[in-house]
Amino acid sequence: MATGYYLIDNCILITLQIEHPVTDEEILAAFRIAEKKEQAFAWLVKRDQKKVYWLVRRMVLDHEDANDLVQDVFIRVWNSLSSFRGESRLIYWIYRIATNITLTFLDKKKRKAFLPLEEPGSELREKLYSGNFINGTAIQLTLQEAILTLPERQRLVFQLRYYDELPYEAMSEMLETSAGALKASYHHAVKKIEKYMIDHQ
Amino acid sequence: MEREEEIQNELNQWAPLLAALPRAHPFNVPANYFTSSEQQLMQKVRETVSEIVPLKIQDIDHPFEHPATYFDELPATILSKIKGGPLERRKQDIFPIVRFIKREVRLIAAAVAAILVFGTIAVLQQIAINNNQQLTTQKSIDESNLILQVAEVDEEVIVNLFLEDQTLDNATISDPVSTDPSLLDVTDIDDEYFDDI
Repeated sequence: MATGYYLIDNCILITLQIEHPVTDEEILAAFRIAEKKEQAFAWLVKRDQKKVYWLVRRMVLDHEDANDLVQDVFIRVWNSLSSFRGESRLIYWIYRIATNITLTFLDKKKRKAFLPLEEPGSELREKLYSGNFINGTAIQLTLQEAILTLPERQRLVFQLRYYDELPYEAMSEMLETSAGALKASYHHAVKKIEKYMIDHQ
Repeated sequence: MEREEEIQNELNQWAPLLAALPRAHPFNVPANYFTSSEQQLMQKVRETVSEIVPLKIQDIDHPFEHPATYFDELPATILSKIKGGPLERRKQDIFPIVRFIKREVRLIAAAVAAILVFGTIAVLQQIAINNNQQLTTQKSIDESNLILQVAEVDEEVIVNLFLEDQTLDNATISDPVSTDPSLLDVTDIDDEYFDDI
């Protein structure tokens, strides 16, 4: 339970008790008040950090990298939240920031290693077996191997649909691609993974 | 739940093996990571934001200075103005007096301007009237002087002048040739001239 301030008719402040999880409207209303800005942001971090962390972590695999990137994502959110126009759910807007930051990070890594931008690096495959905080069953690791065979953006589409269960419409806003194209991309990804799994059983 | 079913149906249709697997991944996090990361994240945001603001100001090479706490207070000041906060209310309290003073000053300025304009017009009109009067007076004086001058002249002189003038006029009308004796001299005129007449 948390205390929050609401703005009514742009001039009256009242205090309410907020039950977690807080809504987008509650966070945004409090964020607009200088004294409550930090509190609002703490609510947002508390509510959404796990979702953001897992989106990033499944893309970069390494915990430390994911930790750094999540911090970058939330710093970007802090700096841009006042310009958020509420046209979509806040989490989808944050996902968009997270995917941009993550894809940029992966591109930079590949450029440093002189690898093609579209294919996941061998470094990620190595991390899957030697990285910290990765302990799964054989089938889970094979599935991750299969996912790593996908091009970067298709890997992202697969993760957003398969693990985060996002609707195509939300993904369409985030990735600025039509819902039909995303469905086709997801379909191809699923087929490729299925084939990989059958071949490596 | 509905979306979960939809996704599961897609998998059943497109990839039966994948559809049979639990949707889990092999990644873990350190113990209590999310509890501590929340605080770390907030700390990081505070540090980064406080780093960014002074750096931006210091990076700009210019001779201008600002009050030490200006940028710290600015968001609250702006917010107060927008939301009708304490600052705005204070300004609203002061405003009627300022407005009253300003209104008084404006009225006085308008009155002075009106006086100047109408005064100037009146003065110009007065000058024009005076000039006309002076001209009229001068004319009257001139006429009066003439009358006085005429009055001083001897009557005989006036009569002689009149008669002389009258005689000259009559002579001019009745016999224009007489006015110029040279016209009577026809000795130098050729005879052919008269034949043409």
